[in-house]
Amino acid sequence: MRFDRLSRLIAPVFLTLTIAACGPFDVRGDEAADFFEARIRPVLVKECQGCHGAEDPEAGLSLLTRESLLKGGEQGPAAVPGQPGESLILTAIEHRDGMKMPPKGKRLDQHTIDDFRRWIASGLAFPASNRPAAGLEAKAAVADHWAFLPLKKAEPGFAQDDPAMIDHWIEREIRKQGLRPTPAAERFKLIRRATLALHGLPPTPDEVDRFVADTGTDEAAFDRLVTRLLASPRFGERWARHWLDLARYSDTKGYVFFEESDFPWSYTYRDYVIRSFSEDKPYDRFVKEQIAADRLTDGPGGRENLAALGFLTLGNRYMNNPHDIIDDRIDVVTRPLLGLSVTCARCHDHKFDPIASEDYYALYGIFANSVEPLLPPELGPAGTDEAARKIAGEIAAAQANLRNFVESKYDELVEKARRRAGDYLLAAETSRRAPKTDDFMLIADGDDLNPTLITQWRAFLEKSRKKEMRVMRTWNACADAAEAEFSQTLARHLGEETNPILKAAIVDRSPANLAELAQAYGESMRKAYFVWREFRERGFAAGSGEPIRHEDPFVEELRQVLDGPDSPVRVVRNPMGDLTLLPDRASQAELKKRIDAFEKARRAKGAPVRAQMLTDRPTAVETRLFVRGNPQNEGKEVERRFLSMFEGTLPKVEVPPGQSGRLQIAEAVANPANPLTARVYVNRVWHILFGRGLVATPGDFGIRGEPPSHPELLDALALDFMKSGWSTKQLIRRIMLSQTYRRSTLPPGSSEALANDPRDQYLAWSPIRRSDYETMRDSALYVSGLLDMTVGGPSSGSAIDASFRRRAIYGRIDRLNLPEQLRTFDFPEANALAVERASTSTPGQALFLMNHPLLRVCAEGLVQRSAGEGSADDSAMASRMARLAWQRSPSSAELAEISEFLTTIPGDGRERLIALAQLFLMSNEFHFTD
Amino acid sequence: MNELNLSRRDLLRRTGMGMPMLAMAALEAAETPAGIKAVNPLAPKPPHFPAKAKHVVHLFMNGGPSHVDTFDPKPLLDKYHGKPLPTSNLRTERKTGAAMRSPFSFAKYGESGLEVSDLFKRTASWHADKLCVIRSIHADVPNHEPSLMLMNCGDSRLPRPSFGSWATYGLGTENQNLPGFVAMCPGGYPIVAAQNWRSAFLPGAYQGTYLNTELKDPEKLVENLRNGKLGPAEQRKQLDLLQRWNRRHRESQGDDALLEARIQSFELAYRMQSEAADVFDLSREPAWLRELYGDTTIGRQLLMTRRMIERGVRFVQVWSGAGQPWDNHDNLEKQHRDLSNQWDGPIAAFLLDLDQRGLLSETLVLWGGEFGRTPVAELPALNGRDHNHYGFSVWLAGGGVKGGQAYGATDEFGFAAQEKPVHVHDLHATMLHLLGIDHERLTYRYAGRDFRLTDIHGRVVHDWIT
Repeated sequence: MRFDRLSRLIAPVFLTLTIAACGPFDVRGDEAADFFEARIRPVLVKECQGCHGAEDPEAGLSLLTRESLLKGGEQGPAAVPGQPGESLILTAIEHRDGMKMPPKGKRLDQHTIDDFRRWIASGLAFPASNRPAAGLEAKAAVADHWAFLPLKKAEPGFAQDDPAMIDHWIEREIRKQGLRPTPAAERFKLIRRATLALHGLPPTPDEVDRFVADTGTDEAAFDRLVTRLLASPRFGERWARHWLDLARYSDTKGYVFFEESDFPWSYTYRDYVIRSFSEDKPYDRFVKEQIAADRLTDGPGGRENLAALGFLTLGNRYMNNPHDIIDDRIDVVTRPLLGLSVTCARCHDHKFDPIASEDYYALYGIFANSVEPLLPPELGPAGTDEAARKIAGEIAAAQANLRNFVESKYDELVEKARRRAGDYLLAAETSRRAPKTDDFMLIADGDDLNPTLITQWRAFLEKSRKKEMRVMRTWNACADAAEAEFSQTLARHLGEETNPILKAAIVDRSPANLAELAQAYGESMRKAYFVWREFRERGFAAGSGEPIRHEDPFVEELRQVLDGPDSPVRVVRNPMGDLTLLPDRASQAELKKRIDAFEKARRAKGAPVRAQMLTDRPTAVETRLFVRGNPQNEGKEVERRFLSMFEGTLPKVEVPPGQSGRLQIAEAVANPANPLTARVYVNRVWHILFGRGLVATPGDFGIRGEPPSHPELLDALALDFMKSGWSTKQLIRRIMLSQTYRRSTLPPGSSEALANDPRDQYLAWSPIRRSDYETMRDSALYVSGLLDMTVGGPSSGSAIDASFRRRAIYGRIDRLNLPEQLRTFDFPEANALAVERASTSTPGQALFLMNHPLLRVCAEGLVQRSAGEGSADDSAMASRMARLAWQRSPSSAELAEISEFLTTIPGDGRERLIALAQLFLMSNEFHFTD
Repeated sequence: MNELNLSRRDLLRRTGMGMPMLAMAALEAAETPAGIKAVNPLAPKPPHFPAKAKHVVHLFMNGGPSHVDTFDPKPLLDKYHGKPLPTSNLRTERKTGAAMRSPFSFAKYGESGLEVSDLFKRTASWHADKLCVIRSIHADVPNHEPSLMLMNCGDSRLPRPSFGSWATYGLGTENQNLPGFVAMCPGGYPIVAAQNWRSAFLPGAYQGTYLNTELKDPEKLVENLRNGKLGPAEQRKQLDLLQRWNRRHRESQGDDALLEARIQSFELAYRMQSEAADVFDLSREPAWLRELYGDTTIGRQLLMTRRMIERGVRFVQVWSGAGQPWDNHDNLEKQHRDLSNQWDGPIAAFLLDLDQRGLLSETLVLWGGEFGRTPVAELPALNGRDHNHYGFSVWLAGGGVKGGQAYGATDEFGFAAQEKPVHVHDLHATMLHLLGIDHERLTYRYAGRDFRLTDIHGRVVHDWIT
């Protein structure tokens, strides 16, 4: 059910009926699909499809689609719709009639089995993974989805910068709906609207006067105004803040253990964004730099632009869980820039949009091959004097000190793990039997087996079973046998095909139990590894380069376990160390000491500012799909590429050797043929200017997003935007100069208009807009003469504190501890990116305005400023305050009310006026844009 | 996005088809005489089906109380004290060694004969038959941060809204003059701070309001409750003129609902100033009752909680203290004793007080930590326990809860949930069910997905419900 239709259906019966009662659509079909998605698919994916999947399914039975279930395998159909009793899959999971599925481990719990019965009984709903909820044919719906189709040039055409184009499309709909458009707003309101929109601040009384007095036509005067506003540095600050919502910008990393919790140079990214908007950097370039500035340093801006990569790097660090960090980076690239929720495909194919899990892991591979240098390059030119050299020396020393320690610990870890392969094998087997648990941080002693490696060995054992890895066959058979049957089982599985090196070790030791067998395994692996090492060194010595494999296949088979690409002792090295790989307290204490020293040196006074950047791994690591998003459950290898939905639309992404692929996806996003990028951005700009987008779901242009209210307009704007060289300022100008933007709000007594278009989606009148926290707070300080206009630099203070006087965008944002009051005003949380802000009115906000010291400070400022500008007479003071706060003079009725109010407040004259000043700052007229 | 959109389009869109009733109710909320529908995000909304409980009180023993020393007796530990367990120790955060017997003695209480240790003797003697002790709950990992997030927000790592946020999003709150969701913690924050009561991608209106209950002055407890300069009478005059202006402004703008919503928010705020000060003013309670609760931080917190519940607050979370007080890796006997001394009496008084006022039947009380502790001692000394997520105990009491039972069991030593294991998601699903909410239908559209407190998990455990 698409929402546009739904809301139309319910609109007439809004107050009396519930949704379920009011539509000719098949609720049962949707319910069955929902039931399947919630209860059945997860179990199939987790428990069954590992063996009954796409490639060479067990017993010929694939459980991937309804058809494959009906077709069945060697034993016949797996399910009969409506007939649970006739369905083998149920027999198998109930462990009846000699069938037992899943084969290992416990029977599924009874709830799950009951769910399967219900699923089969109710008709075996099995929606394709990308089937839209509306029940349309999957492929057709995806292929026809408006946002995935190329942009369409609309007729009639208009000149590149003709604002009449906008009015043409908007007015066509207005006429169709039989609505009556409002006239242009009065000039004093227009200048307030435009200045708040572009600067996040109101105009000064002088600016209002000049604009009102402009003798040009309304169009010409407004054109001059918009031009002036766009040229001001205030514009960059305001529009950067919108972007920072998308970039989930924060000055801190979230919860961390050993590192400093602050990003040392986060503000350089914030300043980069401000600069980019101020300079009207072409949007395609802006996007590319934020994904791959490290590969674009030759362009304008040069090294300074490396700061752009803060877009990727300034996310939450999720306690250094690499998978979550990558997930966050995939999200920040796809949702704000493309309007796609790609991260849904982390665990399974996207349920609605054509984004497969493989697409997600193709991007995952790209980010897994992008690393943060421990000591990133300097943003500006490096100093060359004595002091700079001294600092550089200290940093280098601290870095070497850290690196040497970390490297030696990793080497030690891997070597020890090879020596103790048998112990690990046994420990992994034991842990297979323990209750399932997620990975966790733990503290161990130096001589303990490493818990992370035990987990890797366990995953290796699971894989060896699934793939029936020959070298582990004997082990797995013995591990599955009862203790009493160990010797027989071993004898039975020691045959022709057993690796002779392993066989020799076993015969030699004649193990009586699993523990002894583990030692035999360990010994043979170790032996093979040393033979391999010698072989490799000989190869080097002979000058024939590094050999790829050992000549003896049996040596090769065993050494792979301790040295191959899939070896369980393989560790991913992190230059900062890794607490899960170095879990003993002594190592951690030493690590912490060295990290502290390094971080201190890096941030020492006079130390250069550096780029919070990513760089490509010189040698690529190949990555795999994680089944159900579980890194312990690796699926097939996935090639690094862009989303497959763009195949045929965009050039194929080929990642050159030595690169991660970031540059290539940056180019794919910024490619003019990409049907989403320009549409999404143009919609965003519209959303900011009107309070809602032409597409009402700015972060979701997929099947479940809302369709555009004016599709031709959206495409025309997007095409012209690209033609203009992706200029944000030209786009804004064009929209603002339209009659649509300049209309007045609804006049009194417009209940009929409101009834016809309660959401104002046809824009027959200008919507009123609530200021967000930053605009409200900056404006209050500004009209009070207290706002410090310094541009850029490190974050300091908090936008919620009365003592902080710079623009809110320069306040420090701690994502772990965002002030409650900021959240009260719907400032986004800075952990998950925000494609739009909620806008609520709550008593908490009102209490803030009534009682917070910030309002007191501003009210005092407003009184002081007004007093300095003319007569101290009450009504003259009130008039000046109104002009500052509302951009208009108070009416005589208001002046009478004010004078009455002032008599009721006791205390000296100043207190009365402060109470009045606060009133202006609390008023709806101050907080809303008409 | 503006308010109007939040009401008609956004709320409907975000709540999807899952919660038509709630969405509709929100739209109809706060009808004004002029017929303008102003949307108050916290306006009360009807549940999916008749609720057994209207309020939730979560007594959070942060740090992880030991189940084998409180609500899950394991006599075999006496036998093995100082010796390794016959089964191997499950891996937890730190290395553990030999079994450690409980330094506390257990007894049977009430008609149900529920076994509880003397750490919660008073609670058990007064209320055993009201408690549903869940002895087979388990979580995902033995680390504080992810486990706190799981218990509070239903996900260990990713930014998700807390239970209290979901509850106030789904049901609103009954008293608009008080916050709908309050988190009290004396002396600072627990680990991971305000994330424990965050609203994440839900609007900020649903976040928990934090109170530092170390402060005794009720006016200082809630931020911005008083204007330093203007008295209530002057402030009323100020508001009167403000509202007159705001109404005139609204009328000039085609009576926009957004403007009306903001007008109403000031009235609510004004009333909140007096009601919030009143609710935290414990001097209005009789001396004997204050004595029964105890004039301690915890006692005062619980008495304030009762006063809030009485006034219609939806969700109150009461923390043990800043950091992780129950995290007793060593010296467990003394520390657990001290902590239970702080809690046992106040909990007993609180449940009694609620019951006598007829509030217990509509209030769901949850006691527990983010996990339990190991039956084996942490090395090298034999006097403390490590974190244990494999199996631990929490209890429920009050609205709709079948009391006087111990549900499920851990293994014979108390290491892992064995009989009728339930996950934290199941606890959440069941608690929402008691509030009249189908956990699969309380959804919010974000990043292309309809999110739930229970993600893709959770089963309602009907055995806990009357």
